[in-house]
Amino acid sequence: MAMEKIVLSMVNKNRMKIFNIIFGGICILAVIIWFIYLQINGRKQEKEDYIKPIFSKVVKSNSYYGRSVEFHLEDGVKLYFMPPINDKIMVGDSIRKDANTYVYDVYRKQPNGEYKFWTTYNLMDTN
Amino acid sequence: MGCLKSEILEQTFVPMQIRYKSALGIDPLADAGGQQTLSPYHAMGCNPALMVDPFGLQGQTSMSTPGMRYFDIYEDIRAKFPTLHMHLPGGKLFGAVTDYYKMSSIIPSFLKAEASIAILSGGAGGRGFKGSFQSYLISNNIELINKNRSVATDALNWPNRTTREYLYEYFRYTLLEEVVVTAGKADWKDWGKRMHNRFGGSLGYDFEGYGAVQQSSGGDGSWYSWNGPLMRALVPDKFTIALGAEITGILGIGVQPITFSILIRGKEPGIYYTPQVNVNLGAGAFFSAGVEFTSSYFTGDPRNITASMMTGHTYGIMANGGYLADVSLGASYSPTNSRGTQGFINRSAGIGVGVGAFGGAQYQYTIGVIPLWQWKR
Repeated sequence: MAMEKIVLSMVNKNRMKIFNIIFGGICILAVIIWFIYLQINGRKQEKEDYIKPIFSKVVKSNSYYGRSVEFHLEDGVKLYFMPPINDKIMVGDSIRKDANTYVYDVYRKQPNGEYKFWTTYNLMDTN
Repeated sequence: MGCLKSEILEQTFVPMQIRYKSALGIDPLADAGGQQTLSPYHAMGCNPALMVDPFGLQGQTSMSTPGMRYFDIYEDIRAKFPTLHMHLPGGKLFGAVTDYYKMSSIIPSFLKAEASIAILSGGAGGRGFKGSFQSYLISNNIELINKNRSVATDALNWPNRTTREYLYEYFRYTLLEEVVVTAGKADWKDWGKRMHNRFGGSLGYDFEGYGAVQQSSGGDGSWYSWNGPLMRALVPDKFTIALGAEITGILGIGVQPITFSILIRGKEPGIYYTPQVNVNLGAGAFFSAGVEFTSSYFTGDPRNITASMMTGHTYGIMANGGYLADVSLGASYSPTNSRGTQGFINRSAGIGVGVGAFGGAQYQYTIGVIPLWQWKR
């Protein structure tokens, strides 16, 4: 009986070890895979934004946990800025970007309704 | 006439040039990015061997890369002025800055490109360009700034000003179509960055001692400067000391109520109080109380770091083990935008009293940021 108990205890210990290795490994792998996915997907998005021409308007903005401010364009593109935003960019601004460049121009609506060139930014820079 | 007749070739017509006409009609970007020197009916800069134009809007060299580094600007020029080399001495396109003086006598509108190259060349070439540039402005009756006695006009007569500053003024007025009112140090830096944004990294390179313009990959142009790769490898962008306790059995929690973060680079360097809580999930069980040190590297431009970026989520992996005395190691990532391409990469090590062993994932949340002491950059 005593021998049986010892053997059972060893088996249980081994099972626990295997469980620990598998479960711990899954948790660690999940974080690593998430990080890799984030990077690949983010770069893909950046590449797509680089390729396509943009002629759109800033329709809304939101803060990303206080870390950055996202400005959403009508066509789905997001522009990232660092707080404080001041007058760097605002909802209602018109954005124009040629194909195959990260550089885009911002045009701001004047009181008379006309859009006037405001400034130039780079999609890759967080301003 | 498609590519056969363009402004730059008006006087030096090249009959051998092959026609390439866009099937789309008039190019909607006919006036964009130097294309105004070509016919609005052109495609691929009249040079399909060198250029691609997948959208029928503006030709690009296949070698062009984001951020346009030194070589790419030459390529860009060659792309926009595909037959230019035919007009240069010895057919040379890549060469000393003096070649580009000659270019401007052939194509006045090429001054933009010439100025770019003078900036890139720097040194004696850049200094030599100053005289040529001024002569050009005078002979073509170009007034840099249309404000009375503006800074830019003064700059031309100010011997201490550098060539780059003249050129920046030129760009500000002629290319960005804006009028200069002031030009303090901060103003120059801002313009340096805008030049970089519009024309590429090399254009703003070395302005204000490498400090004005960032490279898109983060850091500035000089590897040994404070924001350069070497110094960033030696001194992290952010350093955190956290005092707290954790208890975990597969799933667990921890609190670090006494946490101080030292923001070393960025817009708001200083010491901040940044309390944290965390949740662990993984294999094993442990209890630990102690101190944890974390060094962080920002994947974007370190000069853009702000204090508010320290709040929020961090995701990572960690391992902890010990008996009475215990040690922990971890690595984590704190994205600063929803796309996740920019953020802090954190490495941590801790010591304390505790018992047990654990390995798994960790989610951490920084509750807030309270400045304790900030210093000026």
